[in-house]
Amino acid sequence: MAVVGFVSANRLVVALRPWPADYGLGAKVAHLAQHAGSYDVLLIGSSATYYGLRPRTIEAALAARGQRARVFNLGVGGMGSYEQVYLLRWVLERMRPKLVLYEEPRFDPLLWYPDVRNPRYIHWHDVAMTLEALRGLAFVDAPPDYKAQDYAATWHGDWKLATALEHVELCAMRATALGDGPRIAARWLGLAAPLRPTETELEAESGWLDIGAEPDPGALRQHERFRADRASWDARVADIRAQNEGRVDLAVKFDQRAFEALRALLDASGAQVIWYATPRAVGDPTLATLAASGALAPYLPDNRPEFAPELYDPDVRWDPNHLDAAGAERFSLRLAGDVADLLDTTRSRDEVQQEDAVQPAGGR
Amino acid sequence: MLFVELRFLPFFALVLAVHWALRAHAWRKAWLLLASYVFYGAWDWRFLGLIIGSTVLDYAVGERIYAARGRRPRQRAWLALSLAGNLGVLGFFKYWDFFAGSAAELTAWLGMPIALPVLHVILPVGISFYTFQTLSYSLDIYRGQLAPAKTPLDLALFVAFFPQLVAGPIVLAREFLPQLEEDRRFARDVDVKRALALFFIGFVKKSCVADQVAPLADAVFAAPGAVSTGDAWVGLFAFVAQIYGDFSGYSDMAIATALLLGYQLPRNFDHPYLARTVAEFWTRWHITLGRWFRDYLYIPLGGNRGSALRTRANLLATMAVSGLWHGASWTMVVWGLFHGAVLVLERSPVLRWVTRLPLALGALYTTLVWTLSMAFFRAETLRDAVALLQRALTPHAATAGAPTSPGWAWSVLIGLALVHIATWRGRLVERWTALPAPVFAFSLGALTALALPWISLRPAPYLYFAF
Repeated sequence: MAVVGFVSANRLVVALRPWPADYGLGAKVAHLAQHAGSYDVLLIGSSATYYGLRPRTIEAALAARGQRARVFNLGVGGMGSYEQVYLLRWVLERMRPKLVLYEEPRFDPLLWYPDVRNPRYIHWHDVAMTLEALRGLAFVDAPPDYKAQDYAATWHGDWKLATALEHVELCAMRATALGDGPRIAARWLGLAAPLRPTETELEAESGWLDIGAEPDPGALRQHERFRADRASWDARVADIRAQNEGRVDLAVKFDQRAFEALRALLDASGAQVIWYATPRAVGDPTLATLAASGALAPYLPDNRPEFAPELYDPDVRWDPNHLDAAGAERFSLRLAGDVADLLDTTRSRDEVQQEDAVQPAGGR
Repeated sequence: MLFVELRFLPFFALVLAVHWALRAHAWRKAWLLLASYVFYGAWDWRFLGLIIGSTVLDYAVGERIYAARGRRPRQRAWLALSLAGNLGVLGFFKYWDFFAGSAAELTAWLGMPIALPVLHVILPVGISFYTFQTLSYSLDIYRGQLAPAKTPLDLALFVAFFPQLVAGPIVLAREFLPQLEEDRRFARDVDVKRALALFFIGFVKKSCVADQVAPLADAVFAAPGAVSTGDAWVGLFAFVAQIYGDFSGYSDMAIATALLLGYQLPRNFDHPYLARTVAEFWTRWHITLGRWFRDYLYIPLGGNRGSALRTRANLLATMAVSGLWHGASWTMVVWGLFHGAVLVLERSPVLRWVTRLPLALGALYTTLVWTLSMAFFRAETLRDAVALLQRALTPHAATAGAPTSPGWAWSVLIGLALVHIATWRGRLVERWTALPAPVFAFSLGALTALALPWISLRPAPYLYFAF
């Protein structure tokens, strides 16, 4: 009877639990829950997407190429790779986008935040995602540098075991809604802080936010540091190019099973997918290797300064990893142009295929 | 190891299973002693030596005091050895730095500075609690109220019994040793519903109440001279809720854990914030400590058997020592003296009228006195305590940059007060445990699922572990 009582009440509590609100996540999920049918194109990724891709600009650029679409920016600050898959899964259960633009399909199971037990980490740790993350640990060489010492002090330095236990703990916390009471009460009693972006902002900009408008203290600190040290930017850009030249053994460094599962999820939704990289301040040899192998097609490698020099202009950057509003305009136009090209190519190919399919019948 | 830690669950499940699986009573006691040492050693095994040393000393001394019946001077000499040994260890680990620092300040003030070394010794967890327990053993034998433990194992288990080892309740030898002499039977000695209910309630008090309101108090006590009057009260009341949830929650879990093993521990709290007077409060708050000081300090000092002046002096002395027991600092001494002064005043015409107040007003008076005293209990320094009291008692706006309490703070604190009243008036715990077993089990499961979301993800350390 105790188990029955526990499970009954637990199901109720879990059903009432809201999504974490920070960095646009709660607001965007709430918006999509209400307006699932309003969008054709979904951009999903990290803060580099959140602040770097403006749907209104993309829509206008696509319209100019004869492709009408409603675009939604589902970029979320601090979004990790498994959280991104979890969010995509949730979205695809509710909407049928024609096109999904997916930022950097990496599968990084490391828990980077200093405070591991945070609502964001807890929220995506359902059993399926936790098992994926545990498998992903096999493809990682080392823990985050700043955590190495802590891990060395626990579990006899076996950081993989320590990380795996953290994942299991997060999964248990999710299942029991541990620590979620204040968030649930705040949400249902109307005491929660207003979500950001507001619904008006979401209606106006479809998920994009100008990083320079009311930046949080952390973003402001990054901005000031970047402005104060612009001299080193050229050297850093050169490093990015070198990093992107690197190649890795995908069988050892990349969870291809997780990638296949992600592709299968997208295929099942019927959406066309375009993978893209954002103009970050670090290169990514794994993505570069994946792209070179052809597994990532179609892929827009906008993390390559040599291909997208206008995005690495320090005058349009807020900080090393984020574009300001002017940079977002440039990135959005560039991405929209590439997307339109890809769609044109796909359309032409489809038309040829359709003609090929129709020709024999017409011939009879 | 803490009751609210995840690792306690498998530990206790194993202890419980093996305990009841063993047939021989002596083996059960040996198993519980081993488990108790593991429990304590999980914090720091090096300090197990202190517990074992204290046990050996008191076993030997207890035998000799008992053997010297009728020869008071000899008994007194053995008792002095026990007191010196136990209080010496407690004094060194808990009070050396305090007295060395205070002596240095005093001699410097007198112009004859003497620098005693400040050793920064680690305070062994639970030392104040188990020292008082072992002292009760020697003192009761000396008074002729107790025969020595039948075996060293019995005494060792009395001292180290893990449910109450680190934070009480402070069990007297005369109430625990007899339980060790008789075989435990599950059907007779274990009230499962009461034990599970107590553990659940204790867990909720600690993890869902104390840990959740702790940040409210922490913020205010971090800037005691800068907060607004309203926030000063929020901080004080939050700490009042925190310390009750923390300590009475631990006691509830200790009693429940012991009960599941077939042993009865004394009640330690009885809705203290509903006491009519401060004198009554001290019979309902940390009951086993109050009883210890009454039996082994206040009464030996003369209690209320002498003149009114002597009684007042005894009260003040007892409460000052009680303050020092809670912490080696002048804030704690002032806190103890403050309570001693209120107890004296309640016996005088100045405050005797409060004893005639209706319950609601009496409880309000008692809670206010307790709340104000918490400024000394929680503040780092006397200066901080006075600054916070100034903020609370005279109108102040917050200074720039001072922490402000969230809007929901008052609602939560008032809600907790209402729960405190409702559980007492409605006898909710008694009614709950009287439910038929299936209904009780279902409700316990459901309440557990409803409580888990309210566990703080940033647990505060147990306050009484520092004592």
